[in-house]
Amino acid sequence: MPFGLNVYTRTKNFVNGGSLLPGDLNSIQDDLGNRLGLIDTAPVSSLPGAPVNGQEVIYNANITDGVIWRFKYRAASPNTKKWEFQGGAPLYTQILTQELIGSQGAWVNLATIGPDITVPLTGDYLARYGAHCFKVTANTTSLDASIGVAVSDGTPATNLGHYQNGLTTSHTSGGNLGNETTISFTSGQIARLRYFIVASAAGGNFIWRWLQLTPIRVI
Amino acid sequence: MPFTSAGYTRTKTFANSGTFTPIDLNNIQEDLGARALYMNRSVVTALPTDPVDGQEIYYLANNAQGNIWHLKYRSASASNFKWEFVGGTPIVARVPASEVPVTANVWVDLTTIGPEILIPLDGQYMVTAGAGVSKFPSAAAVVVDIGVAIGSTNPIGVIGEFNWGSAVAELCGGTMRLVTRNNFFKDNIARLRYLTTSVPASPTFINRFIEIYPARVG
Repeated sequence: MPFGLNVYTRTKNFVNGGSLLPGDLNSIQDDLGNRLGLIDTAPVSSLPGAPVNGQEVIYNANITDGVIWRFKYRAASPNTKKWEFQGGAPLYTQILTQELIGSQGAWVNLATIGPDITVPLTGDYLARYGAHCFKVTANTTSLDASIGVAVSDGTPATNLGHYQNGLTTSHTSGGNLGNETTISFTSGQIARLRYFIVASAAGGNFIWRWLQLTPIRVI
Repeated sequence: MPFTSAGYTRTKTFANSGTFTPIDLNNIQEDLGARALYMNRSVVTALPTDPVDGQEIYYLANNAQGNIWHLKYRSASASNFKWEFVGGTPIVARVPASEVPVTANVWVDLTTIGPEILIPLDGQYMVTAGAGVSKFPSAAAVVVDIGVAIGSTNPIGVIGEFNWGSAVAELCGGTMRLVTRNNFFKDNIARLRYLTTSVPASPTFINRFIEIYPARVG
């Protein structure tokens, strides 16, 4: 192969007075053409089954929303997820409706589940998320609420978003919760924003919930 | 064309015992050269008027900030915005000044309007915005909001909010941050706007920012 790491050597070296066979043109075309084809590819809906080092792809992450991701394959990566993210918009969903959290002391969904994102590729992702939590009516219960990203109805593991107001005089209160975390998903899993409140008597309502997902590296 | 979505097939196959003519070399050069040129992705300040499927460009979104957006054209997209975002940095605007709204219960600008960003292209954009907010010791409950609007209109999409329902005279505050995905047209102004339910509570906004980059444009 004439292409090494950041170097090119001609496919065949010709000398004046030497021979030039028509078949020499085949390998020249194949070497240059295939290399150009590796750099610039049409969008794909699944990653190549036999990638080569340095190969790049444009992946259709969500055709409806027009989200495409550019990956580059790095064979020397010590990780099994060797397609590394080069750029593209995140997957994003939002729920603007206001909903009451119905139970306390456990991670739950609200009446409108999510926001959810179906993960298209097995890999490590950067998840960013946020919401607003507040008391609609004044009461004397502290508002202590958290949100986090889970795999479907699982328990969020790390980097929770949190809001707390410990005042026990009758009052309303509320604030923004948000954070970001790195999570590994397998293809087809659902990334879901979930909710936790210490005391449901506080009457915690959530509104303006959003979740976005950007790949870091995938298989 | 030797380049298709399935890969590359040589322009012409030659047998060693066969012949080739000088014009064969022209065809090979043109096929490979045209493809290399196609990938040149020159920096442009306007979208191509006759794009072809799969074409890629670097769009100069903001010369002053040096924001270049890598876009790829998908003719089969069901959206009018067929240039999809491949990479680049967001355009950012900030207002560090500490300022107080003077009208209650309507969306307003502060003394220093914005931060705001002039939208360079029709499209759907990822918008991140935020601000710090604090209430000086006043015995007034208050709810404060921030949101991203088109100019002087009411915000659309996700809102950021703080709610201090206690009428105890206390100093308190926090930060708000939101991410939303909104449609804008070229030359719209994406502007951070503000709402308070109480002027006497004297809520103060500080370190305000907005940043945008496209999901897709057209």
